[in-house]
Amino acid sequence: MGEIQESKALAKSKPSTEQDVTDELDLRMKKYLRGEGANLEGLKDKKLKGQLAVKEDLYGKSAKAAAKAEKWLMPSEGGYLEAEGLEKTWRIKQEAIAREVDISSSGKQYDIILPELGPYTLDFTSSGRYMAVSGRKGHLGIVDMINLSLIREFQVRETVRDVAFLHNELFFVAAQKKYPYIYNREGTELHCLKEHGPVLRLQFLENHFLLASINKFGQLRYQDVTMGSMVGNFRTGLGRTNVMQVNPFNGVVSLGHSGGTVTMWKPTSASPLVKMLCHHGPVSALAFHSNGHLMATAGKDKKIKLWDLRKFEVLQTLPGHATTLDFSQKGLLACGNGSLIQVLRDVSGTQNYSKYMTHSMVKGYQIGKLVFRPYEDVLGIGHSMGWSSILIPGAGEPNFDSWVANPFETSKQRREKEIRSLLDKLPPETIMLDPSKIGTVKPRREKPTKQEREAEIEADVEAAKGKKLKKKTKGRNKPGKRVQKKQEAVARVKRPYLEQKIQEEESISRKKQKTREGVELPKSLQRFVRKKASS
Amino acid sequence: MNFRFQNLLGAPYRGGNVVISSNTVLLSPVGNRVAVTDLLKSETTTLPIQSSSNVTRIAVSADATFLLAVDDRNRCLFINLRRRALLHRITFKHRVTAAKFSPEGSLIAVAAGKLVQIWRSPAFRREYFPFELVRTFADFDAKVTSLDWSPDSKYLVAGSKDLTARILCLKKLNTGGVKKRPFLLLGHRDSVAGSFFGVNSKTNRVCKAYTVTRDCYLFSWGFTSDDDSGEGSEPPSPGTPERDVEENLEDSENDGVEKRKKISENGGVKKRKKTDIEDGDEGYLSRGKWELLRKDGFMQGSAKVTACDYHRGLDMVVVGFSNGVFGLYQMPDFVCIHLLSISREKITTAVFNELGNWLTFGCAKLGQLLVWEWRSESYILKQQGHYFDVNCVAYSPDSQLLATGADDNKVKVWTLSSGFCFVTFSEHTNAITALHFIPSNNVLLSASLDGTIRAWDLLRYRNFKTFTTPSPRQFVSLTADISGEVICAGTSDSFEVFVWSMKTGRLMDVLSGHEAPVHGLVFSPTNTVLASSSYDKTVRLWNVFDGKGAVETFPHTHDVLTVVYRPDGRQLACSTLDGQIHFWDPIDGLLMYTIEGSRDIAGGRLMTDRRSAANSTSGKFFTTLCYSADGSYILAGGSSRYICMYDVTDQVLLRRFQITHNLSLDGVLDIFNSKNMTEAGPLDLIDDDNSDIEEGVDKQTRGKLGLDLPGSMPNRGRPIIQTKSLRIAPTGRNFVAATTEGVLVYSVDESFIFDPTDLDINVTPEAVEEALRENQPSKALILSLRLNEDSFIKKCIFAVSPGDIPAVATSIPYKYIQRLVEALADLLENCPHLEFTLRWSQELCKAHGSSIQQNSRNLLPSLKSLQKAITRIHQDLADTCSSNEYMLRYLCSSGAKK
Repeated sequence: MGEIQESKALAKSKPSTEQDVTDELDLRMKKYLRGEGANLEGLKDKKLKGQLAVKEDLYGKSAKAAAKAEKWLMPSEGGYLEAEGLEKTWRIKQEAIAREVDISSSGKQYDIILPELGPYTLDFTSSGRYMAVSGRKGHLGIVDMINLSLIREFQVRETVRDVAFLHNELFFVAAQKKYPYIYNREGTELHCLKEHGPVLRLQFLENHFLLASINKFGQLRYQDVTMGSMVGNFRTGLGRTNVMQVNPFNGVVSLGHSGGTVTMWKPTSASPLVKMLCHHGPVSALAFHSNGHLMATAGKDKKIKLWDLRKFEVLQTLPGHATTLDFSQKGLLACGNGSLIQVLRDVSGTQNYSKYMTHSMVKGYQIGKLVFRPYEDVLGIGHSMGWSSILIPGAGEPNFDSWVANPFETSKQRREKEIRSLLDKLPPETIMLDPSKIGTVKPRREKPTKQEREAEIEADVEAAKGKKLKKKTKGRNKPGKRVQKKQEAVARVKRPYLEQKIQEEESISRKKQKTREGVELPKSLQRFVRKKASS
Repeated sequence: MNFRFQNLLGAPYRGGNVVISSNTVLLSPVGNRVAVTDLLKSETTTLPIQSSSNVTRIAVSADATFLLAVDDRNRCLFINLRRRALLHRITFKHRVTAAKFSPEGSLIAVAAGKLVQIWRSPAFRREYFPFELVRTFADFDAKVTSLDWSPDSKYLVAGSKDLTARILCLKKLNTGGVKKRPFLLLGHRDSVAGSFFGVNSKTNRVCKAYTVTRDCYLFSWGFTSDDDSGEGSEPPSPGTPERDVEENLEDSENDGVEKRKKISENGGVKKRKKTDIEDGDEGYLSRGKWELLRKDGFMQGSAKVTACDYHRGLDMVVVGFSNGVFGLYQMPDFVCIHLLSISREKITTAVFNELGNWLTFGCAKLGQLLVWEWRSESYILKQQGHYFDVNCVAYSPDSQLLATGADDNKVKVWTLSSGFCFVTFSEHTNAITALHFIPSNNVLLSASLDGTIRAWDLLRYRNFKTFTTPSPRQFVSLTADISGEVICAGTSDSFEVFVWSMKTGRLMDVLSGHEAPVHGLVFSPTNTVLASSSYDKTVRLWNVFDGKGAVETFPHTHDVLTVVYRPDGRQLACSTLDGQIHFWDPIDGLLMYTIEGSRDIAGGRLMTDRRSAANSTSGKFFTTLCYSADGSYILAGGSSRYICMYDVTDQVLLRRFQITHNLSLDGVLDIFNSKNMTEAGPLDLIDDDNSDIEEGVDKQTRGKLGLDLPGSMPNRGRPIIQTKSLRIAPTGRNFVAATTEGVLVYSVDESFIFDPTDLDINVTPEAVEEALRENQPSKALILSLRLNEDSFIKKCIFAVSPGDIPAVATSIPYKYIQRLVEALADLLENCPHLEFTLRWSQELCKAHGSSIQQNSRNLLPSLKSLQKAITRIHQDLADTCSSNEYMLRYLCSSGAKK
């Protein structure tokens, strides 16, 4: 049996001595140091030597202060399953994990069986405290996940396809048969969003307060939930789809289509930002890492691919089929297909995912949606007979920042946070592929403009015209001769500019020809080029 | 009293798929029954077997012996189609979306949810569990939508809603220890609506496949075998279906070769031959590659494909769209042969027949069913039922015709023997509420809520007279006197009875006195008394010709719903709201007796009822009554699933007919299944139907007149079972009921005769001669009638001795009477044995008089020729007798003079 470390405080408290405290502090300090200190003995300049010595001293002090802060402010530690010898981590079952964890953690492992109104889909708030659950036949509810109490449960008696929280647990959206509806926490219907139509998937962009939806006719809509205005309304033209995900890094909405393409959209552009061919068959699932640079896609051609979004290249291709994918806060990837769940993990930190844990649903329940719960090592499963919760060690961030997401916040804190979020609300124009471009200066063009060049030519021509001519001997100073000499001077001055223009035109045409002869397809499609058949 | 279900009129098609078997027999689901239409004889009947809810999928075996019917609740019936007997039942666990018999008939492929299941057909075996699950394919991610078998019954192509189509191999090819997965045909952008195998006409092997997607595209896939190419295959390009474990396939091939060598070394000649045959045929589709040849669009704008079919022999595809257009295309070049519009509603089924010359289209919303010959562009069958509830029915005086009026403002006239509607009147602008046939001539009267009474001529098929009132009234009841001169109608908004003259069309009188809607109106058959019933708890008798006002008033304690006269005019029956039937003597004005029928007629529990069926008061009364022709019993129906038959003299319940067992209707069950009750109410009321207006119809539909309006009805327009009108035929041998299911016909006649000698291989001239030699004249006559040889028929007729004529005439089945009458007519004209032939004709009419009278419309040409022959012989004999008489008188008188 492997060693299991859970997200809990250290159980044992040793009798502390001065030496132990010092050793522990040194161990923590090493994490915050910037490598080894510089060797200052070889320097001749006393002034420089003194300055560097002062700087090294400051580095040490700041590392020590950070280590002290971590000791008191980050009490929990994350950990993973580790196998010993011939054991494999994916052979470890949930029953074995339940025997090794404490009572409060084993209480997070349960099955809720609701056989009549399923299949169920679910959504968590950003703090992970509240969960919205919806059955396809109209069962809607909100659950407090800390004490597992049911806040509100009601029936709408028609098809519900998706459910999503808005910025906090006070409001959630249900994609019902004809239109999406906004309900409050007590189950009161607040809004009926008729412009969206029959919605298949819903996503909420948290920093921008935008509700994004894709409907049966392939129309993508953005609506500002603070003012109620429709920010964007685009026809994708690629058919209906229910594969939709928001990149949490930049707010770009990605759609998976039936032709195997994945498109990325922003609310201020009618054409997609990125259109990449990912699979031969339809795209069945899509997920984003929280760092924004890693995307997982699954298709009907039985492949799961991991993509680098900075270069739009495949990092890894895994066999298998998934109808739902989700990344956890610490980067674990959960794949669900049929009644099987696989959790993949990046062991070495080089974006190389391998099998970490597996889980099989009892009695063949069909998995509909997998969602990792934030700040917990818990995976929520919406399936055809209700929903379940299993323990995945190392999935969640062990220490929460209460300024970002507080699972234990009071109502006063929630109101304060809501005001701050509204004040910090980002406009829709800030959604772009590379958000770090905001705030930078546009580089200046070095080439002179056409107007400047013409002015320069005019100045030279005027200078040539104003030049005084030398008096020639008899017969060479006639008025015709003088005009001819002046024209020759002007042409002599213009010749370098004309030659330069001709050279530029030649270089442009050569460049175009070179481009045409070279790569036909963009870089992301070169792997699909058919190799020429050898005779 | 032995009435049995015979036919279902009024709704030829409501949804589901339609099947044509034996090239000319059309099978279509109607409610929870299956209708069988013979396209050659132009007859339609309905199988008496009922499913538990609406039938959604049917399949017929290739030799037209077995029928498989699957309903809404995944229950399956296995029916012997020839004997109309239910053989077996099975319940599938998932919703069945496609079912198909294999071409050889021994297997059934069923698409149940995401699974494709192969069951062994039970055929005629007697077993405890006759269905055997042979194989299950669970490769799909979404619902399977279409299935097709290969001609040798070894492969299936299945299309699914997960945008893929797969080629499934029935045998588990486990060569080399590697399990093979089905081929994936990828590239569709919408769910696959149809998938078909195409064959090579020379070798009769599968060489191509077609898939039709819902977004109006057709994909042609070609198959190339690996035997020729071998090495040097290109890497897969986009559109080429993926095949897993490609490396292992080559290894398995090598292993196969090694195994083959070993077998050939070890075995002898027989073993080698057997191995070669098996290796040649086994799994030829698994060694090769499928690739996309071409992709064609149907160019139908925003419409969707809702039905499609492919004919393998002609290599043709027929496609039906959601805007009512269908197209016929010749493959493989995708040449459009026909592109026509049927209506503006979506086509829910499109089927080729076996030869491929007839196309069948069904439109579920309109209840329309068409059979169209595409070469000559003519209709073989064109039927459309009422698409709202039928309100009233009326028999013609000779019991041959039936008129129906419905909420769709149409009056239809049906031929009862063939089950077809031959004329439709659509001049009314609101619902038809009452119909009446004038007894003396061919006139049909109809009353409507649009304020008119219209008279229809059934010879010229037109409206020749319209009766109106000074201000428009809504008519709810209608009657005419025995001579057809006076027409009376009752209204629901002014509580008056209006009287018109048929000849002049003028309003003659207005009878006032009622204080509530007049829903019952009937003339006495013997005198000029008019009886009217109303919701003001009274039945009033009027003398229309005297014009004195109400003659007599019969008070009741509850609302009177309807009133009928007994055919002899001496008794009046009326039903009241408390479920009783009161019988009055109209001459003396006395209440004779009362039938308490509220327990008999009590309906089931509705889906939205909060109380049990015993405590509910809805549906516990009779809304329609009808006396039998001799007045000995009475039929009563109401808002319930039962029709009650009472004996009038003894006031006892004789029989109770349950008109349907369809669980898709409301009010069929008394006690609900608690498994279907959830916190959100009954499961059936949850609006989880994901079909929008563009998709095909997975279940049967029926029109809901106003039931979709907000706040109108809480059960989402689920139809409630009720009987709106009841009529007994004047011959007394059948009755019809206008119900929610349609117009049900019950009869005492045996409409289906199973003839044990109806075997073609045994019907030979030698068999006829042998029967004559063995002194079996009855058998010989039947065999000769089936041979239909004139000389043999006449020979067998003369073989019967005169004393045996009654016995032989009685033993002839009904279907041969027409042929026998024709033979007798011919004999009367040509044969000198006059008395013998006349004796035959007389005994035949005695034995089959009622059948001849009931079906006189079919037998009319034969009967007219027989009558003509007898009349001509009678005239000839009369001339001869007169001549003889005059000659004798002259000779006697001349002798006396001399």
